[in-house]
Formats: sequence, structure tokens, C-alpha cells
Amino acid sequence: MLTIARFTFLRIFEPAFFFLIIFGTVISYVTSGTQTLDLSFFSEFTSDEKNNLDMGALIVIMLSSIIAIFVGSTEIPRDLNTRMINILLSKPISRKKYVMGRFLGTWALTAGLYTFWITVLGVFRYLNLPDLFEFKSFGLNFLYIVSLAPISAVAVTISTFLDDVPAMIVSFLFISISFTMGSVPIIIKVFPNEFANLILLFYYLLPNFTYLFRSFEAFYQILAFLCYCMTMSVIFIKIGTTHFDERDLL
Amino acid sequence: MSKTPKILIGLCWILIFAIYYSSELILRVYYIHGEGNSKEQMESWANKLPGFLTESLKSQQKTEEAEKELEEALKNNDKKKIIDAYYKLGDEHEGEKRLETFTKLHEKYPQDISTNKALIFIFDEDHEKYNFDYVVTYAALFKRRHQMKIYAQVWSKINRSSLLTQEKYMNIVLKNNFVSADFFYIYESLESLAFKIKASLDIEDKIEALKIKCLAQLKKRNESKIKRSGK
Repeated sequence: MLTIARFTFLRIFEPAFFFLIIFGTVISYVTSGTQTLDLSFFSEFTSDEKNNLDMGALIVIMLSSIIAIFVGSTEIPRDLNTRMINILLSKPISRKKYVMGRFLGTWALTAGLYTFWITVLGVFRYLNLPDLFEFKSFGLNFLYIVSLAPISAVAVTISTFLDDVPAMIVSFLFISISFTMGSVPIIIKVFPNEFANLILLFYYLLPNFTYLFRSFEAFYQILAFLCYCMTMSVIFIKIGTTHFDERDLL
Repeated sequence: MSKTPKILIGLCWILIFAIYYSSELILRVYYIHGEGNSKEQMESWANKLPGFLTESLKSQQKTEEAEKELEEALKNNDKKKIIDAYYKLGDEHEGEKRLETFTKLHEKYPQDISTNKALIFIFDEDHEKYNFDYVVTYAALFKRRHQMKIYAQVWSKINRSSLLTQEKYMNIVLKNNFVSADFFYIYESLESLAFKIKASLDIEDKIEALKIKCLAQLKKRNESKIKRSGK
């Protein structure tokens, strides 16, 4: 399983990823000022700047999420198309472990990129404005590494059902819709009860990525965030492994 | 797979889902209500929504506030506040819910003049309880001044009722010889009613006489209004 994860992670040495690393580094440099972005779905409702997700971190998160979708949804279909899967599964490794390996690899790769970019962002920011730099609040950005796990899990799970391009499109759409889910509990207050229940049912069937990208202050919120990310990843990977274990590999 | 690991796996999944939904609940509550400043957050949210949703959300908020106020007033058992809170809540509601709220208010204080507006709202000539006879009994509980007010207000409902109810109303009003500015337009309508139901000349004359008196009152009221606005 870890070997499969390592294979996935090693894609980081492909030329395309070098360009991405450079691109992310440039973005980290450009956004290393004190800009904050007040986007209703990603930040607090109040105009209090200290609570807003900073723009640099937000862009880096988005970039990492896109890479998680791209890598997660293409690895398994590519192995199936190139028949690499036959070679891999001829080793003492189960199908379930193969899928989990791909998931862990995708997560490790995106987490690695994110960690690098966010560290670079922190360094640039510190060099830019050492007096305004707060280690504690900036350090909280590293928490978002965990939020990349469910995104990777969704992409890998969808790729066990579909070919690479459709998997990428579906993953992208699914994750985009999941980003709007946070508005559901508020919007249902507007609708009559019958509609509200129907919308809530839909809401509970989809993960809620809105909760993953916001600032947290209390310990229990961080704990809830970690639990939410990990359990969501486990649920999605379980769906993926179960399906891949039963599907026809032809 | 033996039975024990199966049960263990099942329990693990139950635990995973329990953690998933409870952590979601914590994040959702924090997301919507924040650190205790939910009102400001909701307002900020409402402003970001499209116009038609903003209105609904704001009215929902107002209803919630009115419900809280009523709850508070009921806890303190303060009659005036309870009545005000019921009216406020009723105004926020629509249709059946408003009717229900006003019925509750009137049932809570059936002998209080402050609940007259609620009674007029729930009045229906075909209602089993809150029909015209009930209004007559209710009005009889109060002084003439209040009675005039009740009968003047209930006219807005009576004029849409059957001729029989209108006739009953006319007879009571004429019997009491109500004279006030508010009754001028009512007597005007009663004049046409008398013609419609082919009432006797005596009745028509009485209506005419009362109408003239009411007109004098109306003029007086308008003059004092003009004087006040001129100042």
C-alpha cells in the first residue's frame, strides 16, 4: 500500500509539477503582503479582518485542491488503460490496498506541495513584514493539509467508477457543489418546512467543504474540523475500495 | 469472517458516522451562529443573498424575535407585554398562523378590551364561536366608548358578510345611537343597506339623522387636525 502511495507521490518529480511548484512559489511571493479576502463562502461574515482567510493561503489551497482532483481522478484510470493494474495487482497487494495507496499518495503529494507553498508564503511574509507576522495565526494554515484528504478521497473514489476525463469533470463538479453546501442551513430558513426537509436530505448526502476552509479559534472547532475531514475521507475511501474490489478490471 | 470481527466492524462504522455527523453539527452551528453574535452574522448573510431571499430571511428573523419576546413575556406573566408580543407575532405571521395566534391571544384574555383587534381579525359570521353574536356579547362587557370602537372596527368585516348579519349589525347600532366621526361612513353604507333590504322609513330617517350628527363630529375632528398640523 505504501509503495503504491510512494509511486503516486513520486509524480512530484515530473516536469509539469516543477512548473507548478514554481508557479505556486511566485503566487506565494506576490500574495505575501497583508491582503485579506472577504469571500462569503470562505471567510467570516463579519468584516473583522483578523478572521478572514488570507488571500495567499486561499490561492495556495485552491491550487492544491485542483492538483488533488487532477492527480486523484487520473491515477487509477491511467493504470487501467495502460494495463499497469495487472502488474501491480500481481504483487501481493489487494485491490483495496491499491486504492488506499493511491489515495494516500495523492494526499501526500498535495499535502507536500501545499506545505512547501505555505512555508514559502510564511517566509516571504515574515521577510516583508516581520513586525506584523503572527506565528500562531499563520501556523493555523497548516491545518488545511487535513482538508486536502477528503478532496483526494472524493477524486480517487470517483476515479474507481469512471474513466480519467469524466472522473476529473465529475470530481470537479462534485467538489464545487460541496463548496456551496454551507449556505444550505441558512437558505432553508427561507423555504417552507416541506422544501426545507427535502433540501436538508440533499445537504446530508453531500459533504460540506465550506466548513473546511475557514478560520478556527477554539480547540473544539479544530477537533471537529479534524474529525470531519478524517471521517469523510474514510467514508469516501470505503465506497471507492468496495466498488473497486468488485468491479471488472477489463 | 467470524461473527465478532463483523460486529466490531459494524460498531466501528457506527462510530465513524456518529463522529462525522457530530463534528458536522459542531461546525455547522459555529458556521451559522458563530461566537454568539448570530444576529449580526445572519444580517450580514441576508445582505449577501438575492433580494427576494433577503426579504424572506429578514421576515423569518423578525418572527423568531417576536416568538422569543412572547416566550419572555409569558415567563414574566406581564399582561401588557404578553398582549403586545402576541400582536407583534401575529403581524409577522400570515394566513392560518396569524389567525391561530390571534385566537390564542383572545382566548387568553377574552374579557380585555386590548384583545378587540384580535377578535375582529378572527371574526367570521360562520364561525362556530367567534361570530356576530359573540362580538355583541363581548362588546357588552365594556363601556359605551369602547363599544363604539368595537362596532366601528368590526364593520370592515361585517360589510363583507351576509345581508342578515349586516341587518343584525344595523339594528344594534341604531338601537345604541352611536355617534362618532368613525360612524359617518358606516351610516352611509347602512343607508344603502336599508334601501337594499327595503327597511322601513323610520329606520332610514334614523340613519340619516345619526349620519348628520356624525358628519358634524367628523368636521370637528378634521378641523382640529388641520389646526394641529398648522401649528
